[in-house]
Amino acid sequence: MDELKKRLIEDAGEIEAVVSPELQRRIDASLNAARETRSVAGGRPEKRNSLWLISSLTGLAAAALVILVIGWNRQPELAAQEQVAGQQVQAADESLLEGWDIMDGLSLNIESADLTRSLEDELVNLQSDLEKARQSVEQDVKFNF
Amino acid sequence: MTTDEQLADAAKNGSESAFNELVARHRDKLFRFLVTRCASHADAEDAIQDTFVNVYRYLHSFNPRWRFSTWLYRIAIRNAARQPVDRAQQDTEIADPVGPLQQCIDHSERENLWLAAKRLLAPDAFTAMWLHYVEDMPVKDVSHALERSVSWTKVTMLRSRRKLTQELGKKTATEVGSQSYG
Repeated sequence: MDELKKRLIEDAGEIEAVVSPELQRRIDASLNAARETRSVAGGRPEKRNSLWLISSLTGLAAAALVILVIGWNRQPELAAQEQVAGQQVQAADESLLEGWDIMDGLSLNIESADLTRSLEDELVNLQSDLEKARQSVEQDVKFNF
Repeated sequence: MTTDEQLADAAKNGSESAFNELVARHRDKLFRFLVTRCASHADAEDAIQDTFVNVYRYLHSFNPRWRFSTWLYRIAIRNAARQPVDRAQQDTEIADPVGPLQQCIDHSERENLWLAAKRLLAPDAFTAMWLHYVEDMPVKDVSHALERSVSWTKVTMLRSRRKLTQELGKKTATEVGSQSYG
């Protein structure tokens, strides 16, 4: 043992600090209070941990259920929207065909619609194309007559 | 003889007597340590009280990979660090101006080396030296108790040893000088 270590151990022994009976009573009182709190809280911390796990799992299950219900309700809604969009496209087609009987012989270079986007976008595009075609036909009719 | 870890395991399973045995084994050593660490005697008393309550509350989280004493001192260091802040916030009691450590040492001809250590070293360096030399903790456990890296602990202890060795050399020279001239 080197000199420093020896002196450190010796000098630590000279420090007189012991727990007095009064302090021991304080410690005991705090520990008793902690014991009572634990018994009132209803069991040991491991049980509280398992309760926490159970409540977390219940929350996750509830969240999954809500997502399923929302998804289920959205499917008929989307189908109804598609149906309405289809009717509007059909009505637009019929209005276009009404003008055709007086435009026989005219070459209408209308491109076919690319139905890859959502029906609402396609409807907007079709209406725009229809308007352009109508304007073009009117110009042609004025030019010919 | 039952080890601390065995007692802690029994206390975890609800044995009050095992917990009381742990308190009885460690209270005096822990209080002496807290007296060196805290700003006043009252702080040391509050810290030891809080430490044992925390040990009781969080015994389920004790990892048997570490020694029980390492875990105990880790909690005690945290509580000791909290004391002066709480006291400053409450502003109810002023810390002892002389320091609790000096009060616990009998006046003798030579200065206690721990008083010199308190003067020369930073608080964590002082604690590292105390835990290693007085509580006989390995460096790894000291670093765990202080929540520092092992390399920090090694370097700090090396520097602290140098400082204290120099101080010890001065004191020895003074003592020898006073004897020869005295």
